[in-house]
Amino acid sequence: MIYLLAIGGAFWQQWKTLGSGWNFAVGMVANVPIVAALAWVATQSNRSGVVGYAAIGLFLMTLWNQSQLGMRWSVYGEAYAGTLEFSLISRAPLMAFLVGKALAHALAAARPALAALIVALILAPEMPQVPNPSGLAISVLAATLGVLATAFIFAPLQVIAARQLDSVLSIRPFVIVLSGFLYPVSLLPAGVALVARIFPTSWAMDAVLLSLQGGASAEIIVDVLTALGLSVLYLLVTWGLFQLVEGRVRATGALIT
Amino acid sequence: MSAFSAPIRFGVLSFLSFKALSWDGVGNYVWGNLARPVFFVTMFALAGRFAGNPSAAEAYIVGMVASAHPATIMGGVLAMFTIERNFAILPILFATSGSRFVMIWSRGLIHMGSGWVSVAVSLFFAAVVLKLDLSRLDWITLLVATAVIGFSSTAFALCAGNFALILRQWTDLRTLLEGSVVAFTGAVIPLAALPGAVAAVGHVLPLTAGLVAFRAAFQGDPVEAVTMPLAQEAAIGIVYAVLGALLFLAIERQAKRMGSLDWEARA
Repeated sequence: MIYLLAIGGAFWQQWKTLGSGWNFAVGMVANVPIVAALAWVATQSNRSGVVGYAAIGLFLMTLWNQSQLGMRWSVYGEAYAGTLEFSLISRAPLMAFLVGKALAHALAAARPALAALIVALILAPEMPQVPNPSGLAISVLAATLGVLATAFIFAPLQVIAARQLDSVLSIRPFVIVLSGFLYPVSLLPAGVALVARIFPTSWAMDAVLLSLQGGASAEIIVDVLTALGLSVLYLLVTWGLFQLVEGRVRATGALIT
Repeated sequence: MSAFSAPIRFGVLSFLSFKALSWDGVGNYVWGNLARPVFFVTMFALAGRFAGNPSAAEAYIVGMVASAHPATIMGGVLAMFTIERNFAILPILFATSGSRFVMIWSRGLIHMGSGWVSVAVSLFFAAVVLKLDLSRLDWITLLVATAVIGFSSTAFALCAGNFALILRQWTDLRTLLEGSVVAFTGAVIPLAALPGAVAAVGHVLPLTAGLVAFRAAFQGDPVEAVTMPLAQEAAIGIVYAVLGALLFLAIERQAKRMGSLDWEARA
């Protein structure tokens, strides 16, 4: 119960800083130009499924981008402002507290992500055809879980590595290039495509494309299950990293090195 | 005092400002200024190829290489202004009697150089990995276009930096402005394909006019053939330089009167 209270409290505390004001207004429109540019590229295609793939990919890309970015900077900001310590006084684990904050960021990120989806669909010459709607639904769900799992792993990494990994963590395009949001990772050079397969979204987006192009359900299910398995693996690794972080933070008192 | 002392002092001020407010190690510099633009170029190149349009993908690559300049400068300058705001360095500057114009531009000089480096690295990557055709490239036109785009992009970023002084969140502002110079300048979407009002926005952004000259360089056009767009790009830069200085002075006056920089706290 105390965990739920900690998650709920952290969620509410974070949500209040994200819900309104200039940040909300700028955040809603911030991704629209780049989304419009990428959606326009997709609309120049005659291939089936490309526009639908790009629209869903842009939604997920924005969700990942904003969730990860918000999570990173809120931990940083609170650590520097000295407000993170008060949350640590509670008996709830650090992970519960940061899960609450991450959920708030994900929910806030869903707003510009939906805006991105709408922009992409407006630019589409016609509504994308979906030969396999149920396949698309489970593919998008698997991709969304993959997005959240890969965004959340950055929270303990930020606390563990902080400045040492700051440059790598800040390279959002690095993850976006490899996640398959904008094109199937099979388009990447062979070695790079292999690396991209560690991201659950690369599998889920293959399932999205298959669903849009009327691919076999069996292939879609294999891709979805692989994506779900990888997402669970990410969450387990995140949990393990939080154990390390919790131990270090309580022993050394250093939140950000 | 020699004739060189003012430029030397400006150079030293620029270097110290960059070192104190922006430098965060070689790794961060390489990832933020060199790798990041390369990823953006790759992203658009692959998206274009997935769309099944290789010739258009080549146009996206050239546009994205050019947009590496404003993108790099924007990130560096906005972060710098945010650090000045968050770590309370700005009130000390407000208390000095030094030239505000010099102070503002000292925040941009090194980032302008970083922008040139970003363009060079992105171009090298595009040529070697993405097989961008450089056979007809006129290097002089490319260098002049890059220099002028660098100036206007720096002026624009320094002007936009004023908003990072008064708003709490700078990253969304950066995303918005970076996205705008990609979407509304012709870097990816041709201006003719944009609705009239949006294209009008594009015409007041840096890069739009300079990009005409930048693209012409890849067709082998000499610099004399692109003097008009280069002049337009330089004029845009001058307008933003003046506007940025005026905005900074207005914010300074308001901050001194209100005792606070935070406009959101007043809302």
